[in-house]
Amino acid sequence: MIIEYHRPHTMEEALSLLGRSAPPTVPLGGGTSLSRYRKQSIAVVDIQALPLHATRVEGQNLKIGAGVKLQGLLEDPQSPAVLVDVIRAEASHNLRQMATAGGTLVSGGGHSPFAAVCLALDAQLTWEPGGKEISLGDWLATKKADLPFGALMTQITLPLNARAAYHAVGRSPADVALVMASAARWPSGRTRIVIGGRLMERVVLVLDGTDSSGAIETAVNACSHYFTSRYSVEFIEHEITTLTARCLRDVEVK
Amino acid sequence: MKLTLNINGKSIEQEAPANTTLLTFMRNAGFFEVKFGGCDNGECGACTVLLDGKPVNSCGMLAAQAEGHTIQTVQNVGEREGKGWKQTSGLDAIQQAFIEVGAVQCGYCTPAMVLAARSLLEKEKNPTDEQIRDVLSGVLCRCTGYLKPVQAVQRAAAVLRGEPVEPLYPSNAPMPDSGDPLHPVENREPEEPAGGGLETQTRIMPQIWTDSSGMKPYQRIGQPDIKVDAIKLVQGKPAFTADMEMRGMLVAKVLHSPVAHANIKKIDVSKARALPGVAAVLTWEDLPRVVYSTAGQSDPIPGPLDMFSLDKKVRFVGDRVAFVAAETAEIAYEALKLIEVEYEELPLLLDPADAMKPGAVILHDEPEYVNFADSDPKRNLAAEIHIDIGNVDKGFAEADFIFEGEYEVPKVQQAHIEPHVVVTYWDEDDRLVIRTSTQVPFHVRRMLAPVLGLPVKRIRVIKPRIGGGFGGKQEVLIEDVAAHLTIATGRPVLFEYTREEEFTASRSRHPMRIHMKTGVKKDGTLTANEMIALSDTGAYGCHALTVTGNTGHKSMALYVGDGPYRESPNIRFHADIVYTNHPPAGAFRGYGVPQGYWAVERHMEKIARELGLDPLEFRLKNAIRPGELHPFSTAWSEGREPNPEIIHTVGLEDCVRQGRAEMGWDSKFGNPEWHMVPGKPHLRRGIGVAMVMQGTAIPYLDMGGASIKMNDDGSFNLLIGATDLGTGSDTVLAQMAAEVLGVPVEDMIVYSSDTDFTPFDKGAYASSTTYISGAAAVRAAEQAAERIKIRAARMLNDRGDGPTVRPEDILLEDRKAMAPDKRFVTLSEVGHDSLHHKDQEQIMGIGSYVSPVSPPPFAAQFAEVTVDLETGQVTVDKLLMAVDSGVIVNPITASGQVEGGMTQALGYAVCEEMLYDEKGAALERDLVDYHIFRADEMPDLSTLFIQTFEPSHPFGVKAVAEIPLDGVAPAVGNAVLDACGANVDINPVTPERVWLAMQNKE
Repeated sequence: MIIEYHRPHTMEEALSLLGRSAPPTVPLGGGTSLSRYRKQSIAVVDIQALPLHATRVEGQNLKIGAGVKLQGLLEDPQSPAVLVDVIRAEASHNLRQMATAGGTLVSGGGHSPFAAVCLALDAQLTWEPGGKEISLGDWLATKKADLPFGALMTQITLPLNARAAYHAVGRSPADVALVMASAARWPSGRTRIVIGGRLMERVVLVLDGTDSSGAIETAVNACSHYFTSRYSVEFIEHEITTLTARCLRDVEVK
Repeated sequence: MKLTLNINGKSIEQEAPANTTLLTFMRNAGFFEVKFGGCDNGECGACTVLLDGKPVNSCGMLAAQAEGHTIQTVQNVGEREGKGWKQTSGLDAIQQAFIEVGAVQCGYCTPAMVLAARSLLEKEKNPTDEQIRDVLSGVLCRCTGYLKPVQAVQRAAAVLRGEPVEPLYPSNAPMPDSGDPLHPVENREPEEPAGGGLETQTRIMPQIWTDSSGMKPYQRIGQPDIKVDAIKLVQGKPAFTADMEMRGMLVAKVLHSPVAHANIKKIDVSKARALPGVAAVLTWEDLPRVVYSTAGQSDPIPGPLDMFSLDKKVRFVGDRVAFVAAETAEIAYEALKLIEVEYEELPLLLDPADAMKPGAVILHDEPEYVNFADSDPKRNLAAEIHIDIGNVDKGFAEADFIFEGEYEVPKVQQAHIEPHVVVTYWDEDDRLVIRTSTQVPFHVRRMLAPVLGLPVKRIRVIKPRIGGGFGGKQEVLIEDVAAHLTIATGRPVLFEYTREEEFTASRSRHPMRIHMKTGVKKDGTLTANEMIALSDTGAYGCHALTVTGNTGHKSMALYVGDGPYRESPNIRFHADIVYTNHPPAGAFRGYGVPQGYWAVERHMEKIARELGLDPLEFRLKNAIRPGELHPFSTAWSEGREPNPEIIHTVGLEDCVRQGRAEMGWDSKFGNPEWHMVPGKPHLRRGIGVAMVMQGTAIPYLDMGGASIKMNDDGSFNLLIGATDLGTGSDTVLAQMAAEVLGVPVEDMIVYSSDTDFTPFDKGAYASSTTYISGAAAVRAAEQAAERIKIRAARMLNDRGDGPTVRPEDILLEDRKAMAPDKRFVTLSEVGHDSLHHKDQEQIMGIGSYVSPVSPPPFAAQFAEVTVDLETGQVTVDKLLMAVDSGVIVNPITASGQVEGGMTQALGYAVCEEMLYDEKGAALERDLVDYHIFRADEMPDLSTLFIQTFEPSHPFGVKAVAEIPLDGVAPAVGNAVLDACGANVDINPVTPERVWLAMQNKE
């Protein structure tokens, strides 16, 4: 249960609040995941007044403020097409007005298309205090990495020189994906493949390298077990295979 | 914390805890137009407000987050024109368009949709359908199928651009008719819909084909009159159950069982009772032990009495354990946590196939259990049905081929956007008032009286507007909870379900396993047809007998065979309806019939293909025809005495003919080229069909009543017990009465329903309101009309300016009582005279109606799909339903029923399914995991009406509400088969099932 609400106007103030040990204090983006705080007594730090709402291109990178709303990112002409597609798949129009890019990465589960593509693109997350940059993959692995207590994500950096693709299968066009795959490929040949789905707690990186010849088998081996409580092994293996192959085909430089 | 929010241009201050959501803040401040959809994470969007002009879910953000922003609700959009001497701005163009095109059904999500549309039109003057559907994607609607809301936004956009937008249909024109008489149309592709303005207008009215030479010209029947409740709903007026506040009102919550089967060994509520702010905690030890059924049906309830308000045994995860009433919801939830329960767990019964096996654990061993018909709790049998028509075994022996198949249909949820909700309080006469969102107010009163220990006369049930029901509110589900707590505390109590409770502790469609066996001659003549169903009623037997009975009664009646078999069909239907430790099933729009048609129509498709027969011709060859006996009418009638019934009108052949042409069936079915998708070799198109019939009301049982009172301005109060749950039934009843009285619908002031004021009506179920309650309204109107004519004749004769007029020669038309020589008095003059001037009387009429027949509507349901051969994903591209529902009273509300029904059925076809873990706990608990269709993923929807004139009704109507649920799933299943050869026999056709079926094929 939320017992305190704060809306700091400076980063210092925000970090000071987040650095408290009691009550437990967490950042609040759009609020679309409020219900997760029903059982625990916490304080929230609303980031809406912090300067985290801008998107800009820097060199070969797209820098997205953690507080940028998904709808803003969708409408931003700088956003790559694949990002626009996955934001549409991520949430309805209403939720996109509220949900922030940072909040979606933090709270998005294994069925988050946005998280899948960001992970495939090896998104780098910037945290304060200290401006420390760590990859989304590292952060997902531990949910904190070696960040200082009370750290706040301020920016997401995505490469613009990589091709990315996303494919999913669901029961209906706007349904939460049953299984999804995303891939990204850099001019160097580096390829990253991510698998997600409605039964997974988080999206999973299954390949990061220049040799993608065994990628599909790796994806199947790494992820099919997540689904077997509800779906047949053959089906899931086939879906992962098919979706991964489609992603690899799409990112191939012709 | 003190919060100050800028709402609709005003500063609203409130002291509120930090966790207060914006929704709670607004409803506490009286902004009842912002609706509660049962969650706090933005699943449905009913709580939408505009935050700085953008639509957001107020349930999913803190009120504190909204400080410093501008908040708009639909109150700020527009208000009704002409409020006495005060000038108002009138309704906004969007509100007006929503009313005109019929985009308002139950109206619960309408304020949210209007706001979302407004946010779009403020920045985009010429939106595409895709943009509209995207902006509406955040607001779930379970009624409309989204087509009319999209049309409304296009129409509003046209108005705002300054383009001329004509009325949908001239109010005094003859009945809309696309082709009179009915004739074949060319095989053609449907026209692509175009943009806004007048082009939009042409898309809104459904096509209506008339097959009746004897149909009279009507004034109001057949007109797209606007819904009588639309103006208030589009303004978000506080019309729903929870849209009220009472001093001292408590909030109720229920402790639900975490285990599926257990005795409650011990329950300690002392800590909960001691919590400050808790007014009452009730357990089974506190309440009288009165056995009852929650099924809202006429007396005697055709099912076992097997439930108590609170019991010492729990039978499913979600069953009731204790009730709490507290000053706030937070305190009530805290109290629930403090209740200590010791459960003695019992063996689980989760597979219905195990229910009747020797040694199976018995769910209902309580001595109070009351059997109905063949229920047998010792065998976990809530009901059993066996019907043999003709000589089935002889029919099988005469067949050239026997086809058998196993089919399965899932448990699915009604998912009305307004959750179950009730407010109870004692009035000043110590009568218990139950204000509830129910389809069956009179049944609520009758059924709860013994449960509460009150006589019927000391209970008053008020039914405000209902935010969708679909059968879920035919259950007397939660009214007793609030009522017991009001009795315990003496205070008003509000109880509203959360979305999770709707999934775990409500009712659902009965899941079934169905075996089909069919005998067929080489020429396609059916010789015998058999259906064996195993139906899972869950922990309680509410609607067990009647739902599953209708599975056979409707779906197995359609195909009687041909030739001599048509004269004497051979049909067998057997069903075991068993208890399990799943949440109870109950009534859901379609009432058992969609389950039956999944099996029957998938089976017929396979037979046709196996024998190389045209699937349309094969079905029509064997389908029932006008003048034939309903084969089940001599065998079964919802657990009561059956009566033979001739079916007079069957428009099925014309439904097929028109639907076939509109779909372009002949150029697609069997055409390999059409099945390919250019440039996408992994995709295949398919086309499928299903033919269906339903019923219209329950003969000799369900009664509707209406009364009409004339006012001194010539207007009328129409009081009806019928419950419009968003269907538009209040409107069509008003149209029928207005037709008799010769007035426009705006002169009918409709009120429904209140057990103290309105005549009895069985309620909204069994597709009966237009037919049964409508006939009652007509009778009441005829009585009033008779008095009007007598008085008008006397008034004209008193004038002495023409020949003597007899009352029977008077015609009521255009608000006038007119003599054959065209002299007239206005109805206003008649009303005024009757109340003030001479031989004063209250002109009134009262009517009631019970039907001796249940004339079935018929339909041909078509579907087009695209199947991904690699993943098994099915995309439904088009649904078209050609339906014979008799005369269409209001083409807009009727087509809204079809579009919304097809959309619910689309979910049933491809995605909706309630699954449970090995301990009986629900896996789907919200509208994210349990997906219902959104505006931005809908296929093309089309409706064709084939009008027949049903002779048993004064205006020739039959039902339209439920039949759209019946055919979509099998039509989609058959289209998938057509696309890729995959026979999916378990519904819904998920990617996994399609893919596995494709593997089996290979």
